[in-house]
Amino acid sequence: MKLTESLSFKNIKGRPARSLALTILTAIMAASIVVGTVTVTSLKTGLGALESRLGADIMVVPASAASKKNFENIVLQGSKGYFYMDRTYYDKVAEREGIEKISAQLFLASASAGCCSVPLQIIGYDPETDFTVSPWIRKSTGGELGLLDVVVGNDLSVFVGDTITFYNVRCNVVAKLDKTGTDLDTAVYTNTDTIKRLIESSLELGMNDFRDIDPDKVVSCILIKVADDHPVDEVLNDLNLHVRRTKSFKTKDMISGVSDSLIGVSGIIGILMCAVWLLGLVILFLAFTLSVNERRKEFAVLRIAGASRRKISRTVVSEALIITLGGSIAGTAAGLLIMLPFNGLIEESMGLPFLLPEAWVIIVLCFAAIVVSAAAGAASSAYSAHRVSRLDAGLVLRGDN
Amino acid sequence: MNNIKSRAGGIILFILSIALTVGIKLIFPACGPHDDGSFMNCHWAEQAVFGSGIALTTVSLIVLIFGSSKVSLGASLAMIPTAAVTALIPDVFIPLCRMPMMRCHTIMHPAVIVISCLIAVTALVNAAVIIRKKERSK
Amino acid sequence: MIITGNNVSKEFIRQGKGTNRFVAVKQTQIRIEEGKLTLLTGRSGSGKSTLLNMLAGLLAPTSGTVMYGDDDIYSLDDEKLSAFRMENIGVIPQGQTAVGTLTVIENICLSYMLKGADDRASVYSYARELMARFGIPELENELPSALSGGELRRMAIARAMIRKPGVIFADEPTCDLDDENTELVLKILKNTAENGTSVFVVSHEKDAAQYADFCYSMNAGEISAL
Repeated sequence: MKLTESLSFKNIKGRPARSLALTILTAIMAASIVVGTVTVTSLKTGLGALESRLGADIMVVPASAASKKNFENIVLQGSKGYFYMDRTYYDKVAEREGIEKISAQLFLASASAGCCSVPLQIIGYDPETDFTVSPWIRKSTGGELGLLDVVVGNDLSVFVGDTITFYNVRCNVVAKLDKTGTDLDTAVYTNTDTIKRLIESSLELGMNDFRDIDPDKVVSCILIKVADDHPVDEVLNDLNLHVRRTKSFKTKDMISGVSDSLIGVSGIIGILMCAVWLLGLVILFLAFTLSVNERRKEFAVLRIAGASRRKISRTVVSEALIITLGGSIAGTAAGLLIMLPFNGLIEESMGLPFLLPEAWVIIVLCFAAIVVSAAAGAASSAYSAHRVSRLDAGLVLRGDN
Repeated sequence: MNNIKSRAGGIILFILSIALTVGIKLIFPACGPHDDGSFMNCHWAEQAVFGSGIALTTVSLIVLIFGSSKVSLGASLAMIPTAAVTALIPDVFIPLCRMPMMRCHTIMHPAVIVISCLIAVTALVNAAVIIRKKERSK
Repeated sequence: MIITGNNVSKEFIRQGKGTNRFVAVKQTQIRIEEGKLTLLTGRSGSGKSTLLNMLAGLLAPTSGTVMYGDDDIYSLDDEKLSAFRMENIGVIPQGQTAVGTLTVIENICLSYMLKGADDRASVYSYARELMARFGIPELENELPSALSGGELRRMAIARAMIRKPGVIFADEPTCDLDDENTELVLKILKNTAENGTSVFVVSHEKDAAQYADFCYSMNAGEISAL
């Protein structure tokens, strides 16, 4: 059996309390990187997924709906909620100038029946005119939806081929969409004919908040793509001015609300991470400096036993590296154990689009967290390593006389 | 002091098992019953985890009482597959509710996975420590 | 191995009041003979330890050379000098100098822990032999904190001898030991010298002289033969 260098290990084992404390500290630092970066990346991925699904420049809704608290989330993110306006507004909007494409959508929320005890948002689009939903529905179904066909968001635990019942109407699930990290993942998409059937049924059952609407004569939301030669703001002002009792919004502005809060959240996360790191680095630096100071005599003994200056500083740094590497691996694992299983809870509590990035992105982030934390730990011992390697064994051991 | 040291693994396992057993009922239970009083799938997953938690708690007590003996080693090893199976109960052995944003998905499922994993890892480490101690004392 | 210090001197700059130079060792000529015990006595602060450290390759002199045979050790770089020290020089420092996290036998084999040995068994068996010779055979797996002053000193001697070096430097090896332990330690050093190792002892112990082959005295940085 070989007798090889294990001085660093022995030192770590010989001071278990100190080693454990420093390991936990680095673990917290690494975990803060994992949690922070994965959260921010997930928010960005979620925003990207949201943007890619919004093909419209302007959305027009009933003025009464625009005052609803949750209204932006209903039209943007598919949160539960519905409102209607007369179909004549659609025609009025369509007459204005600068409109290249226009399409209407109908919303309905399911009652807590059927598959799920929680209400779902049902979005009906008009396949004839639609330019926002159809492209990705066509991508996932490979064709158009027939009557009573529905496409479901990724978070619904129903499968293609299943049926799903809304207001006693059985619908066929023909496709499932990719994840977006928003409530769109729990929404159900269908064409106008189907949703009209569902609205009728809800009215018959007396389960619709609107008692006296005719599904053939209402729309919930009008989507507009502005012609290239017209500025979006001009068309928007024109609509808000001339089509009364409706409210028009620029989707970019609505998204910018989301991205503003995303920037805010990212900023807070960044500040917290910096605080944890600053504190962590100071503590690590002090811990290594103090521990080396109090062991000056031991290092002098290593010198007389034949350790070169380089060997001494390597011993100090590798001791720090073993601790911080262990800590950062443990911290990264802990961070993942928070982020991966609990991502649903995080998504829910943030109320922002939240979509975990692809596996390789997470792996890269974790790897970076381990490397950065371990390196930071080792670097914070570099100063004490340098100092202790400069010490004069003779002077240290000569002691006090 | 030495006594506490040799029983640290058992103490941690016991605390984790209790946390799982009590938590599944009080802190991170599955979704409540429908209005008509009928239960959804996830309720049965909760019940199964609860049962499994009682088993884990019992075994962890054996680990705790028998310190670093062979009995404790065996009990430790037995906890590893039990904890692994417990982690798989929600969603794999017993399907949960269909909506991922429901309580059983967002809270119960991850909590069960995290605690079960911690139990399995602690049991593994504890077993390894006992084996090493045995080898050294030979 | 014959060690000579040629006109070695050491100046320190005292910190605090400007450039206050302080000459600890003045232009000293000394020779340590092979297989002999050379003793250096003198009052505290007379420069004994400084001279010992310079001779042991631990402190570069301000001027002069330290020769091991024909080699000037301070012409080597730190890496080479450290390797040379490890192989050829054993030092028993002043005071208690154990690595607290290592067991007694690990402390004794410290230099092998720094630079791996191929055969742990033979290193350990020599360490056990030394421990037995110095009367601490049962302490192998104890931590230094469990040892008495005399036992720690014997451990330090064993550590200095583990590589069978050509020369051993001992700085106040009997300081703070009782009479019994003092005699034991001096006998061990004398015995080592008789077995062919050069031994250089700094001590103000009166009894030490009776074990010495050569005696020097140091006063205010100047050496004189007794």
